[in-house]
Amino acid sequence: MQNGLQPKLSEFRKSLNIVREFAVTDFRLKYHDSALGYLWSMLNPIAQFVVLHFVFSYLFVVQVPKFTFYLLSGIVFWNFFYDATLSGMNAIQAKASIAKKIYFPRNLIVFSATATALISFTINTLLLWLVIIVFDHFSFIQFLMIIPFVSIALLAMGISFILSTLYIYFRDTMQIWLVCLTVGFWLTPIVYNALTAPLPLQTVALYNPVGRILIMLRAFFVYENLPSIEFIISTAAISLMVFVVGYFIFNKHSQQITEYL
Amino acid sequence: MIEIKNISKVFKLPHEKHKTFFHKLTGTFRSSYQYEEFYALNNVSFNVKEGEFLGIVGRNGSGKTTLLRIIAGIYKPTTGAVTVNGNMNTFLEIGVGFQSDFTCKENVYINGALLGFSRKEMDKRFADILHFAELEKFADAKLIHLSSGMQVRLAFSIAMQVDAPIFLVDEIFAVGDKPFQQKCKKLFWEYKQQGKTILFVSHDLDSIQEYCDRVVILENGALVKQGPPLETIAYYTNEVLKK
Repeated sequence: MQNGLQPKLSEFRKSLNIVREFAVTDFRLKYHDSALGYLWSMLNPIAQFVVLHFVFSYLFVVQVPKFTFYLLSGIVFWNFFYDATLSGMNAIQAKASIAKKIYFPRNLIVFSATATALISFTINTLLLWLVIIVFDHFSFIQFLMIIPFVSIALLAMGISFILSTLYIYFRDTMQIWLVCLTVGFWLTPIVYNALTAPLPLQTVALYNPVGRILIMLRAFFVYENLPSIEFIISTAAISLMVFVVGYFIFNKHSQQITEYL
Repeated sequence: MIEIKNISKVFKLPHEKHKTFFHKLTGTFRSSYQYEEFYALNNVSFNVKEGEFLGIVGRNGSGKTTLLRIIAGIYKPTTGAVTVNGNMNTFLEIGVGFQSDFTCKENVYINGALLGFSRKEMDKRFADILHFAELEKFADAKLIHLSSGMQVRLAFSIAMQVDAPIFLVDEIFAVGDKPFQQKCKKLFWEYKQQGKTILFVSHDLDSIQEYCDRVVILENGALVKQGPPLETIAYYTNEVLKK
């Protein structure tokens, strides 16, 4: 705010530097000093996948074509959403000591939390793609998965902004959001097909932004039946809207944030 | 250069802490949200001229750090306004963002980014930083393996790379051993000769007297006296500290 005389571009570059240093530092800290390092982060989704695959292929059989890839892609995207929103909510608290000592735009902290989650998400998505190419098929339509990829990143960032603002004032936000995520897992078409689910669940799954992103993702990635262009645009628009709203809410409160820490 | 006009900062000190929804809910039924208003700063005004070395003294809790945070843009004043012309280098604390599990080199880049440097710019300065900190041998040592004095030296050397016309300094002369302190003092004299504007908070009245052109005394959030160092420091030791 005092640096009003400086050109905007260099301010932007400075911000980008801060986001990059935070994101890379946090990513490295997470797997630092552990023998298997990054592999650990994949252990949890893989275990989740194995368990759910077993349960829904042998115990309660779901009728989803190409269920393996369907489930795997759902888990990769859901896990990003889960990690990004939780770490985004906590980011301000985690960086409190820095925020109190030096001035830089506060939203960079939330941006970098999402960026940290994006690093593993990118690796996992590429691995997922590789698995699909090797064991199923390759098509150019799969490149369209950039749309659901960007949509879920925007959505997670927007929600992180809202949650981290709330979390400053109310510490229960963490507990409440954890419950929401647990319920949300089953209200999102991760293990079942949204279109063949019983009616109330079908409606919820279709109005759930993450659910819509997943439907879009599978259409591009696993099947090759493209959803309507309205569906694609509206889904991306919802994510963008959540991001913009979250960003404004956060910035409106960002001055108070350091004082509440 | 810096204009501080009728700054007040009010913190709400709650009688009960309402940090959860449950407390908030039950609180609304029991009694309304009660708090006391605490004036960390009360109607403080002063100007800092270009090239001036201004000292700020006051007892613990007198509002010095709050004032610096407001000037740095970390806090927003409740009333009043601060105008600053020019870039600032804020030394409210040095070594912000240091990770003890990372090496010196990595920490130089992390800290540098927070101070507004890109990796390229830090590449150019890296040798200078280690040289000033006298840590050339430890570039690839983890920070945790360095003594606390060495860590502070590194932090100080990075901070000194920021070339800004205005410096905000919060008590950093207690850094390192005697020879290193001498080096820092020399650097500050150079800054002074270069005509930089410096706001300097310290409890060390000797260095205040040595450097400052003017001194401002804060007491319980109010500006009680300002003027040349000799008379203000005498007032401070005789009146404020004896209370």
